[in-house]
Amino acid sequence: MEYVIKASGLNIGYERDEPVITDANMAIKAQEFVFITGKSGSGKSTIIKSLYGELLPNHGELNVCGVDFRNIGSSKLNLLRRYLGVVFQDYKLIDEWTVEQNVMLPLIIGGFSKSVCIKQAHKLLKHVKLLHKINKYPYELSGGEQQRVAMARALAHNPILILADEPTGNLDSYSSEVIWNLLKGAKEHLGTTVVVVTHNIPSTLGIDYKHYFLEGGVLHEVN
Amino acid sequence: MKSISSHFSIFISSFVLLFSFQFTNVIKSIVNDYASKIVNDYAIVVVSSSELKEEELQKQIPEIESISEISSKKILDRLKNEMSSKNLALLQVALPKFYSLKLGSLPDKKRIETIKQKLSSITTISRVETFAKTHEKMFKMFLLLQAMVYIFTFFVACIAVLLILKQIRIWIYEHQRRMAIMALFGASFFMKSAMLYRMTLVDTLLSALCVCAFYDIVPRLPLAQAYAAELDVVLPSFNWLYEGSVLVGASFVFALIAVSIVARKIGRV
Repeated sequence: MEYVIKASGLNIGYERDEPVITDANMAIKAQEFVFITGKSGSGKSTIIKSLYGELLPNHGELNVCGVDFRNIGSSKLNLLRRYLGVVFQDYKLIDEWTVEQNVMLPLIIGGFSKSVCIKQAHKLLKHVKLLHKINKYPYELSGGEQQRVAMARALAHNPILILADEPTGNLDSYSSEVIWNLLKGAKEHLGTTVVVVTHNIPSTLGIDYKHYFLEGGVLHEVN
Repeated sequence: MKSISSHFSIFISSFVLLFSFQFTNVIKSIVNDYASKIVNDYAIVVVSSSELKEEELQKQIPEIESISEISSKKILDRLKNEMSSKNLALLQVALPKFYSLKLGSLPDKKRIETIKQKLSSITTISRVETFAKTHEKMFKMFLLLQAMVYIFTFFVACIAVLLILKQIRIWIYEHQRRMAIMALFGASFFMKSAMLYRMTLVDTLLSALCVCAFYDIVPRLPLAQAYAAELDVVLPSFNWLYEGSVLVGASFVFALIAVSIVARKIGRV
């Protein structure tokens, strides 16, 4: 599998005849670090949503981790999602579950044993400096802490591809640094492909990356 | 607190539904038992000039279980002192035969009329007494009782269904977000719904066991037995194997239907 993500002539939209993204082309290789930037409302989140199958393409070809999105069934989509790590803009933590349980979610879905789930959750919560809040509930945490939990959850099952939608939006500098370090670490140490949608690319990242820019629903690759 | 009320709601609605279902069974059993008692006490009296054969009558009227001749000895004994022996002998020869017909089941008024007509059409039979009026009153009372129980059960079941529909709406609200997040991480339909299925199955199983325990214990209480004896009815004992299995099975079906509605609705959101 040369490309982790391959898209050509992609049209995505919430209504079939009103595409938000038109004729998008993308080719992302394994272990690449990719930024998709653009103004508010340009369709950055729409692209991310289409990559994990929340929005299916209206037109064009999309292939993620070897899975063709044309006529994709729910079982195939479920299987694909088990290999993805997604960080959502609104965190999407389960309120009635503890921090530990939230981080364990992809591992539980992946069918790992309880001891493995706990061990991995503790390891990642240590990385995001939240091991002391393991038994807290999401509503007891600050926004930055919730995003760090969401980050730990996205990394818990060592995904092939991480999709992060504004992972540092509205976060304090400490939480932002923790998150960028984790994403960088995932690419460098685990060989994970990372796609980040953001307003600003951090200047101190210190790694090679690919950059796509979205403007008026059209995706441009920035050289 | 939210969790307790959620458990309580499914437990109560399942309990009410199963309780009313079993209540109709108990009433049905009591009514059937009482009906067979009436049948045992009930007989059609027939006056015939010649001997009647049971098999021949049963061919025409299958409800007939047995026929027995009513002895005329008692009447003749009473007349012994008032008549001469010659006249008494003549009367004995001329006296028709009286038969009591026992039925196997409790027929309705219409059927009794048909039976009467069939019996009257036999040339040797001169009179048929069905005691239909007394019998009809009793029978109607039982039908009324049974109908009242069914109506009561229907309304109780409606309330239970309304309760569960309300709970389904609450569940959709409560679990929608969690199930949607789980779906985003690739959880299958059953994985997403497992928590709801587990909770509901446990609650409905508990409610079924409570209903079983109620119908097992209550008929054995001295107070209930005394009351039943006063009414001349027999309270049926609870059969754990048959009735228990039916109630537990019904509770499981009830839980599966409710959770499946929720899971499907959330799946579509």
